[in-house]
Amino acid sequence: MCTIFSASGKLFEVESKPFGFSRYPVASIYRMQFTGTAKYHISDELAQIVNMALAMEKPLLLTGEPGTGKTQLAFAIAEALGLEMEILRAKSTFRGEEACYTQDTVLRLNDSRFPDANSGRNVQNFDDYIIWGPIGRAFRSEKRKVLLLDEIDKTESDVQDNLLDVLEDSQFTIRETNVTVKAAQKPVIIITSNAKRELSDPFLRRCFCHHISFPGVDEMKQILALHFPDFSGPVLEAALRIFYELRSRGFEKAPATSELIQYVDAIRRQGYTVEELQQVPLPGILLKRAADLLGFKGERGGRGG
Amino acid sequence: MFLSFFYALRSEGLAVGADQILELYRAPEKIFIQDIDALFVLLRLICVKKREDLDTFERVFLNHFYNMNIPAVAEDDYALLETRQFRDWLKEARERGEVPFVRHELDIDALMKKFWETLREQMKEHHGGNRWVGTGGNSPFGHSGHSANGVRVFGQSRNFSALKVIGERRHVAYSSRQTLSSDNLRQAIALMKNLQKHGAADELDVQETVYRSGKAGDIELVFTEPLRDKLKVILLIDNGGHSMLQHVPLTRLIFSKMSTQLKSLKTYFFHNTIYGYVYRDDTRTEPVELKSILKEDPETRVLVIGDASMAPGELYSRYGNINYGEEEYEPSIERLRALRLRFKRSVWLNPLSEKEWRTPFAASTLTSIAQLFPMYDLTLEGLKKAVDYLNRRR
Repeated sequence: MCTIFSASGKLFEVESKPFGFSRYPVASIYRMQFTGTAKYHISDELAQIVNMALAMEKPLLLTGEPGTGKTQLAFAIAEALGLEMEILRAKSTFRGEEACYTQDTVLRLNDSRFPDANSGRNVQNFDDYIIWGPIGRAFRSEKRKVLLLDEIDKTESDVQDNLLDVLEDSQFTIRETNVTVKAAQKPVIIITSNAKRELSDPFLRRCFCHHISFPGVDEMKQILALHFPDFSGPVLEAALRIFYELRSRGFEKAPATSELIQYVDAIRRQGYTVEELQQVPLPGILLKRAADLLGFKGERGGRGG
Repeated sequence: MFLSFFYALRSEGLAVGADQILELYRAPEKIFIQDIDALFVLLRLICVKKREDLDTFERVFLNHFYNMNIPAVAEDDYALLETRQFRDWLKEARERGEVPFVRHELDIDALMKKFWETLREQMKEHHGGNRWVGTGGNSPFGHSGHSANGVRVFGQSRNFSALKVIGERRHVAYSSRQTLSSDNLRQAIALMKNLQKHGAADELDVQETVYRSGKAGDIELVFTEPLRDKLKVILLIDNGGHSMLQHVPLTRLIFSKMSTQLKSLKTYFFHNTIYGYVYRDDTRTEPVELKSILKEDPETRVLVIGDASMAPGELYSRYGNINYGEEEYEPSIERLRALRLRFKRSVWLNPLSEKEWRTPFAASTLTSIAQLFPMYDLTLEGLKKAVDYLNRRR
């Protein structure tokens, strides 16, 4: 079976035969169909990458600055494949094991002191006290799932090393009982990173890595068209100009796609004209940090006076 | 034919090995590689794990599959003039009479522009087995038809094309040989963030507590010191030298952007080299005694940023300070030594690229200072090495 992720975000499975470099593949097995529209704009390149990672069963690591739709892509894949998701949102205090499982020690202690025959739990049995984390749930599920490891760069490098088995063989070991949990159905693993810190080399080696560049003007227009299908013309162009101009100024927190979408929505609702946009109304939607906003207002005041 | 591609990548410094080669050869069992653009995407997924390698990969790919050899420099970079590709092109262009022979008739900027235009033109017109000036020969691939090696390449072109992507050179600013610029600012910040110690402030050592309690037969709580998670950083910036001008605002921005991760960040300025005082502001009106800086926590990370190039007298002589009204006995080199002795975790970042360090203008004072401080150039690669040095356990 070969899975195809079309430009509209829909997925199809078609029969394919294995072939080598030296044999000519049959062109007709690669049928693409475009049906329906998705909320997520995906470029041909990215679609191809997703397909390759899916087919080769490799975790896909997406890097790029905030607002390039890394996390959204995981949701879009899950939706297109019709799979359920398990999400692990990484924190810097994370040790890694709780991503797979934790043990409910308090409940076990309580059971051992106040035994209850009706609880259905056996104090001697470690397995009765396991709480599965997102990775554990994804591996134990009968159905294939999409496993999203969000913002993995927030974790320590030893946490990343603990996850190597998870990525490589889709398995982990319960340390207390030395039981290995192997994925019943290999999940589709999507990992995102904001490149806050560099990831460890062994971790990177086990992934397919793709850097999503910030969308250019044309791509941004397509993204906006998905959100505001009936809004275009000079006002939108002016808003885009403001957006990219502000992005290039090196603010502490440069505005990203989600801010732009809010901004365009606000402009649309307020019914601003191109002339009014010259004054850059509502800068607070694009610039979130107080220092950035003050800096921007100062600049503007300086120019005016 | 793919093996030589991997070796070409290796010789350009990409860490690819047998794993990647096997992965490529297994790929056709699982996926359908319908054209060279798909092959480009696949090879990139397999071989490139870091953004700084992307530009190298794209250049090697272009050279290997299209026989076009583009130089590893950004479009507005004068380093182009030193590349072999540029020289070959210039030679041929002169022979064809497209460019005047006499040197003083040449406008360097116009010449560089012409080079890149020619290159882009060739990329656009590329139809299999094209020649790039100075190389010649045939590419193993065509945009239609198939090569003798047996890869069938379908001519159908979609929105995405490897050539188009490579032509944009989107990643050249992120290549580790590039100097810092606002384009790779984010990446530089990511590198700097490696500076910080992070970690769970988990003060009760559970493992050890369980172990010792078991041994002692009684509850014994074991506490570990929490990891110190925030660092102090002192930046000392030379804002005198001409070579520094473009770097000052950028360096400050990088550090201010990560200031929330730091316990404290102090920036001081000096002119050419350090004497008894440094300055809190870039116009050097608010002096701070060097002595007071030497009292800071010795674990503080100190980064000195300057070209380390000056008249030898400024560095070695007593009363060497060239600034009016700041005469002082102690030679500057001793001040630097004191700074280095106090702060074990200190580095010197130099905006001059490592190649330029040996030029006669820089050599004398720069070499002395480089013997004192570990010195790195102000490129992404240099910054990475500096961070590694600052993090080293000792």
